[in-house]
Amino acid sequence: MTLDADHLTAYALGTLSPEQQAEVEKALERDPEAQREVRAMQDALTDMVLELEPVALRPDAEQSLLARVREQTSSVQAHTSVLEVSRPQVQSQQQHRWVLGAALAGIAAVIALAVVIPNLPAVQEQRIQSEFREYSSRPGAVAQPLLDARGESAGRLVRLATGEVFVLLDKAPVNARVYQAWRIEKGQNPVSLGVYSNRNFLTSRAVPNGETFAISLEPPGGSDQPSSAPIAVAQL
Amino acid sequence: MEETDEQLIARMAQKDESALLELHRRYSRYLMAMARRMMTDLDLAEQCIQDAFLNAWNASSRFDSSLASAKTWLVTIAHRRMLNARRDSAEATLPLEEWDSPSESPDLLEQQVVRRAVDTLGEEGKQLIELAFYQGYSHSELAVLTGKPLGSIKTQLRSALTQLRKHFGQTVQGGAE
Repeated sequence: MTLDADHLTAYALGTLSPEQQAEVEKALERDPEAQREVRAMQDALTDMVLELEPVALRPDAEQSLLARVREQTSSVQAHTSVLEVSRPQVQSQQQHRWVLGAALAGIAAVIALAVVIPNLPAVQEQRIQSEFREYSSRPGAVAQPLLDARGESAGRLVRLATGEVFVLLDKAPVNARVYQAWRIEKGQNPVSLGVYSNRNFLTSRAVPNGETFAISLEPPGGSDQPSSAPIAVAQL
Repeated sequence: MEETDEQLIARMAQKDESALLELHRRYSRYLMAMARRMMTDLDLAEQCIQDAFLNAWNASSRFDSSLASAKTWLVTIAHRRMLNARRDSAEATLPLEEWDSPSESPDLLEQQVVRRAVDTLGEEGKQLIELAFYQGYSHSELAVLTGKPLGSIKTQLRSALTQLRKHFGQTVQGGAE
């Protein structure tokens, strides 16, 4: 894509479609001069906003924001625990394997992050990002981050109005394993939402709003119950 | 000495909630003012602002001050969230004749204060900037809405943005004209 002044203007104003926005962002990576132009336009628009007469929010806005931050953090931690204790006691050996598998998966993930994970071709990456934006732009779709157990970003998801979830993880599965998505209803064992070999996928089943969504790394074909700690969790 | 916005974001990356609250105190009321011009549902507006700060919290470790100032980064996050909310919720579009009024019936004083920078623009430039930035209309939609040729819309928008940049004392490159 060749950037011109109209592309940059529309990008700064936020009026491009998700696909066009993705194309411009890709082109901007290779054009420092265009980056400076966009930054200058966005700075001017920001200053325009900061000249507006301030409008007060609800008195509890700060507390409400803090509550969401803490809920997000505790959700990741709590549902990691849910996954770890959700299997019946009689399966203690499997639980040990679960912990061992989680540790191995953690080590594998670290190795993968540093060494193994291949770089996807630029065209493929652009297609994936466009796919995410297309789902995000659908009516009623809600995008949110996917976080790992430490609260760090592991990817993003979009819950569609129909309940299916489109997932875009930061990394592809490694070591001949697959991703398996789970829905977790409070107090219940995780329910599989399908097995996926790519880092971007649309779940085959809907997930009710308010439930917990998790992803684990599993052997090919998937597992009846998670065999490793979740690599990503989100409260829908 | 007051911490800079960039320093606050660096502390947010360390999961320091007090930094998030300070950034919220500095900017949330301006984001609410922006939201009032973009949507009529004030509950949705507050939700979008909260989403923007939560996104900023989650992305704080990736903030790069060489790419954008902290305030522009935050306003851009909020602006895009609000535009998406407008599109997703089929937020009622303001009639053209109401383009220069905030969504909630404002008092006269606010209307006067609201436009310092945009007052440097001509009437048409002001109208186009507001319709594009606050209402999310694309170039082609603006052409249909105003009945003007697409080329004229593009030229006027570029010119209006250039004037805004000059108003705020920013360098304007020839290529942006």
